[in-house]
Amino acid sequence: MSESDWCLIESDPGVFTELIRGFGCKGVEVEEIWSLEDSIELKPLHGLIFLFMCEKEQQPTDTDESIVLDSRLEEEIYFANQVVNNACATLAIVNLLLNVQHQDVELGDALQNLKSFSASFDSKTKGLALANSPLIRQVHNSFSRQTMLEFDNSLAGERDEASHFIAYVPINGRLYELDGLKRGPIDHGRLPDGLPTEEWVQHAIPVIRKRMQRYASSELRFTLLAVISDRKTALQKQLDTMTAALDEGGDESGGLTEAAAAEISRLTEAISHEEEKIARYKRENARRRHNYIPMVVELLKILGERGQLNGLVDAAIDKSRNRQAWKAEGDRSATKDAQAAKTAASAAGTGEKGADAKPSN
Amino acid sequence: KSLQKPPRQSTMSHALFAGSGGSVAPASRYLVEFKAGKMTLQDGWVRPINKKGMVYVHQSDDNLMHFCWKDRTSGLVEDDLIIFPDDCEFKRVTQCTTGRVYLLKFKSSSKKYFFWMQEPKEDKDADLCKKVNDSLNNPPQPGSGRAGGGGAASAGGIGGAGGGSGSLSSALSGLGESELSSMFGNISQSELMQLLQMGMQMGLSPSGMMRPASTGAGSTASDGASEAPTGSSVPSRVQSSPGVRPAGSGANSAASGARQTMPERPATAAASAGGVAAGSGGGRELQQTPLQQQQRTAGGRIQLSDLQTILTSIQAPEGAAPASAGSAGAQFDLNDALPIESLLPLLADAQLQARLMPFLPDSPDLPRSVDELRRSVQSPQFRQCVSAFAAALRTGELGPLVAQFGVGEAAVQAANEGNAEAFMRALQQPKPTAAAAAAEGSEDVEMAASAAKPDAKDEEKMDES
Repeated sequence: MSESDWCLIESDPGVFTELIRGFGCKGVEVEEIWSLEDSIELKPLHGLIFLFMCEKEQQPTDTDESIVLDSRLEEEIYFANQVVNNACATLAIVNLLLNVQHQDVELGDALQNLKSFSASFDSKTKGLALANSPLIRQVHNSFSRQTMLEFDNSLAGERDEASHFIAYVPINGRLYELDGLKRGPIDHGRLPDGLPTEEWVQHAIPVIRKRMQRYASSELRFTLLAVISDRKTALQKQLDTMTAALDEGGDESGGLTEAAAAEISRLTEAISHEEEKIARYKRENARRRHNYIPMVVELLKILGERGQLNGLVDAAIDKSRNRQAWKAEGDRSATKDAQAAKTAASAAGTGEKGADAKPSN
Repeated sequence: KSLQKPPRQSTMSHALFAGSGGSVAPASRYLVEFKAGKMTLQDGWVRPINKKGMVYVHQSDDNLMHFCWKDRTSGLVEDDLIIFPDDCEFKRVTQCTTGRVYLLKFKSSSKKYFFWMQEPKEDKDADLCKKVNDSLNNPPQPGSGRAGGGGAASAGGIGGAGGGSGSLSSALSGLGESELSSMFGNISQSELMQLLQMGMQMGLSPSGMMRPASTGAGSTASDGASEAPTGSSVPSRVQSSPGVRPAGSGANSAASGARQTMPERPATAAASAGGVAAGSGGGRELQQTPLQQQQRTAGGRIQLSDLQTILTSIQAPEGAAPASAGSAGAQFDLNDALPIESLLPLLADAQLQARLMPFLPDSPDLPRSVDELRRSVQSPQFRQCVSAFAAALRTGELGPLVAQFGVGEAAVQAANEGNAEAFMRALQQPKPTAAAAAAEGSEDVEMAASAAKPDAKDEEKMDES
């Protein structure tokens, strides 16, 4: 149950889609979206995950938000606390999935068992239950990269950062924010009357936007992930329905109307596009699991045998020197710009802090 | 100047964990040592044995890890346990609140050994405990099938380690956790006094401080260091051969939650499939070819999964950037030195294709093909491995590992110095003689290739091609 039992995994829609399948959950997939508005077209949308990197000191603490601590936690909402940092992605996904009630979504044994088993636990204990689930941990760990992200990060001298996942999900007509680091779910209020459940995300967008701004820094890196119904299943259903209808009430001559033919063709193509996407996810995951270091060394040996390595090293050293030079130059001019702005501001007597001027890169 | 070729074995025992990089250690150097006494089970109580002793961990010539207890008065090594990685855990017995009692506990069996600290100051206890676990579970060599950096990894045991050393372990072996805790938790007042009296006789005050000029207890921890533990008469030396381990042992790390866990990963699963262990039998040879060395590591094949363990056990220098001024050699990005335009022509060569193919993943989702060779080297995953390799190289801890890839002495030397530039240039140096080069080259390829191949079936296939 300790940190060392859980690996870091990449935040990638392919990883998460396969992760969910690995848990035995059917009927969902994860897709990345690049703007909040993109989520509007995705239906049915079961939840949104907002993921960002933040410095460890900035990790959210409870404010005066409306944290749910009442009976809803027993009756309606499943919420587990994050107890292991490395498991944060899985925790967010599980928190989200265990609150989804939709005909498309089949939780599967593992998740259903976790849900029932831990239903009466408090949030922290729910988190412990998840962290102690051998299957969930095993599936999670199966997506870790051969080369440890932590190792990369620490040597790259990056700041002490952590990735943070927040899930947004509609439950019984209200919008909730599930953040494993908080004491409980945050209630963002009732979804507007008359708003079809499927349109819930429109209500969520301003809320999420505010949250993004709150954690914003000049280098905010974030990802938006949408948990949607599995596309291929939906398309296949459509195709099956269509073919069935045609078989029954079709044209006696056995031919298809142009429109029908076009539709079938479109669906078939869309299905094969989805199949290709799944295959690609699986390929990427296979590569993630593989250790390429022996191959790297072999390639270096080959290049060495062919007498090419020295030249390549020389070129790489040059490149590095150039980068350093450009960077130094950039820093110098940035400082100059900042100072100039400062001077200008004080000269203009606006009282603006010169530090607000963004350095030009 | 000529490079003295160091014995392979000492290169292999070059420790990988923090603090020991750079120096070549003799085989008999203790990795951890501290004063501690043994304990025994009597009438349901675990009692200290009133003898001054020392616990130490060392690695023998055949790269196996030994956990030993020596009587400091007689000099006799009474316990010499061979420990396989992940098979045991050394931890403090918290139920005993009055003494500093530690337990060596085995995963593969119920054997338990208790020790009580005789070091004058308590403040190093936790550190020593961690060192014991680190060294036992991350032996100073690649290729021995361990999981998770240091400490209590949860892998299923490799099995069969540590036979009994007489009555102590067998008496304790039947005990479960709750029984143990009742033994300590219910420690009676008289037991308490007895423990303390033991301590006092040793020259330890109740608070554990060593009284000066007491009965020889003032000697430093290094007094045993000059003794070579191997070869000395060890009455109860225990050794279980790798062959005893259950066939599925390689899969242990697949089942657990340890860092390197990958249920379907071919490299891990095949670790046991090969079962080559102890091919050359003789454990004392110092000069070994990579192939022989590989064969004699636990599990019989280079554990590629260990790369991850190695990488995690390497401590990154504080605040160091990958190509910082602190590291030797010029700065450069290894990915820049492997631009796609240089790699693609290589991949068009049929011979090189055959040579590189075994290094590709072998998964039903991703069958090996020339196409995949091309796609691999352009994949982010490949590039990330390149970066990680470069970073690991610069820590200076990768010497033993790259030695297993048959890169040649100069390159190993560069790796030991953390000099990535020198490493690269060393790879272009001509090999000593044409004949030796041919032999080394083919052996290296075979070794490296067999390291990459997940199972014997593939090996046969490749040999035919």
